[in-house]
Amino acid sequence: MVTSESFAEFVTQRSARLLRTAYLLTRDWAYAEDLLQTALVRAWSAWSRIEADPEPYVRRVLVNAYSSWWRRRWRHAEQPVAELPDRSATDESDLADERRRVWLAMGRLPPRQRAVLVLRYFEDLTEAQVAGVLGVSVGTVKSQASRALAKLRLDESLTLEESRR
Amino acid sequence: MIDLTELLEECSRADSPAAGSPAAGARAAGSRAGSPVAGMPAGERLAAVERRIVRRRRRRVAGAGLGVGALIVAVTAGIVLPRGAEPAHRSGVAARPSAPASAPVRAVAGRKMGPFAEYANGYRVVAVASAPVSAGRATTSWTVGSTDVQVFVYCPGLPGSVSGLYGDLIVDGSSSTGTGCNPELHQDAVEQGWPNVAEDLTVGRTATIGFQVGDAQGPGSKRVAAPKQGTIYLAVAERVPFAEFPLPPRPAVVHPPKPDGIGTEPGGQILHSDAADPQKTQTTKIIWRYGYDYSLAILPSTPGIYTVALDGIPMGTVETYDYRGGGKGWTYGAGTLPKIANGRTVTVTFTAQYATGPWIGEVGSVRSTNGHG
Repeated sequence: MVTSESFAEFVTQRSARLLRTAYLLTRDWAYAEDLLQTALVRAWSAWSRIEADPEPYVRRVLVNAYSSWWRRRWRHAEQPVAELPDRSATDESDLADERRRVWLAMGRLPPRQRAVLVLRYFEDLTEAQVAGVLGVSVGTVKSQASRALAKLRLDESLTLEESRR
Repeated sequence: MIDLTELLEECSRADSPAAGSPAAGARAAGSRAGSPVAGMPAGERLAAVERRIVRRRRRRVAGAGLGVGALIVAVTAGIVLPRGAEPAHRSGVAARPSAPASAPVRAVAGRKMGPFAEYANGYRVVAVASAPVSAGRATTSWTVGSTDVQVFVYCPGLPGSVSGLYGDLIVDGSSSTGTGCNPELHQDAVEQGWPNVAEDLTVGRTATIGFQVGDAQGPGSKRVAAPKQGTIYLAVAERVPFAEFPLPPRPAVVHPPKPDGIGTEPGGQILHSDAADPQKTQTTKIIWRYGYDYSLAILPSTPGIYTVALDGIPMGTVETYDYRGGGKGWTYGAGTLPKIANGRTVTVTFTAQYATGPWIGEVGSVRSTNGHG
């Protein structure tokens, strides 16, 4: 073993959720795994200096690694939207179509807007926390979220419970 | 009504129909893509992370041995070093030669090697193979000129019910790493390289690599038997020194990059390249304060090797081989770079080797929210 017990425990017990975050950012499980491992390796460098819950720190490293990744790709390779497998028709097909539409539309969002939505709605972070993770102002988070939801043709009031706002 | 939280929860479950294509496993170097869709088991992930940590330590030791002590700080911060400054190969297994050892080949932009571009993203395809999926394996050999390699697999013609194949890369008869193969051609260079493959290579020797078909991803991300239809294309690419890389023709108009937000935030700075001399270094000074996160970004518009350094310590590099723009950014908690003292005035230096057009460097800072800055 080259890593500390606490680090090993963190990877073993906590990385599954972070992998899902990485997947929502990259929309590719293999990229997500690679991104998560990259973030964990970088986090290890600072592990001894992390005094509180390490997850916020690792999440921030992960999002920053994603940021580096998409900056490299954004203009010529950022087309991660794959057609989803067709589902058999059901009584809920309209809703399924709508959910599918939103998921596909999310893949067309600029990476930073996608990151804002993932952190805000999946990770359930506050706007201030999202700002901290992305290294931007709260105002930027608000505007990016607003633009992203507009592109998804979603009304924020319909997608967030009051308690989460 | 769509609840975005519910949607994201659903779509990020491995068994979701939305869960992505399998074969991007080819891009997940070093990961056992036998399970890329669901992510690898936690124990396996820990082992993979530990291997990467060991490799980083080797790099640090190599850097120190060459008297590049300053680099250690950069590596500690998780930074990819510029090629010219990197003392040893990424994987730590062999020094990178200045050029492939095979017979010199005239660099020609745009030439194809099978379905693959011969030159892409700093790498040159040196060996290709193809075989029907029904054969179960595609194999090729080459004389290793560099252990800094990329591996690409591409499987067009699969039946519509199959979105990709899973398999293994076999190097000289031994399984090197799991990977996937899908019907979408890509040649994106994986930043970390392919360490599991590189460890099996020796410069100057002939190596044989094959993609061995395992099973496939069927509807709903379920594992199914590999189909008989389709073709496997496999390619190995080696790093090419920038000066030898054939660049595409320069467009009539090169659009200057636009700031992407870091430098335009309050307290941020944007440094523009010198109009008369794009290769001229640009510098600024910032006060390094613990409790803040610092962001750096480089946005080029022309090919080149762009580097940003803090007090001479390389912090990040962007290598660009075309005129499509893009860029890269990094964020550090000030406290995670212990060799820079709190309150110190730090010089930020942007260099642009080979640049022939406009670029910008950005510097930004924001108060850290979790106390780790």
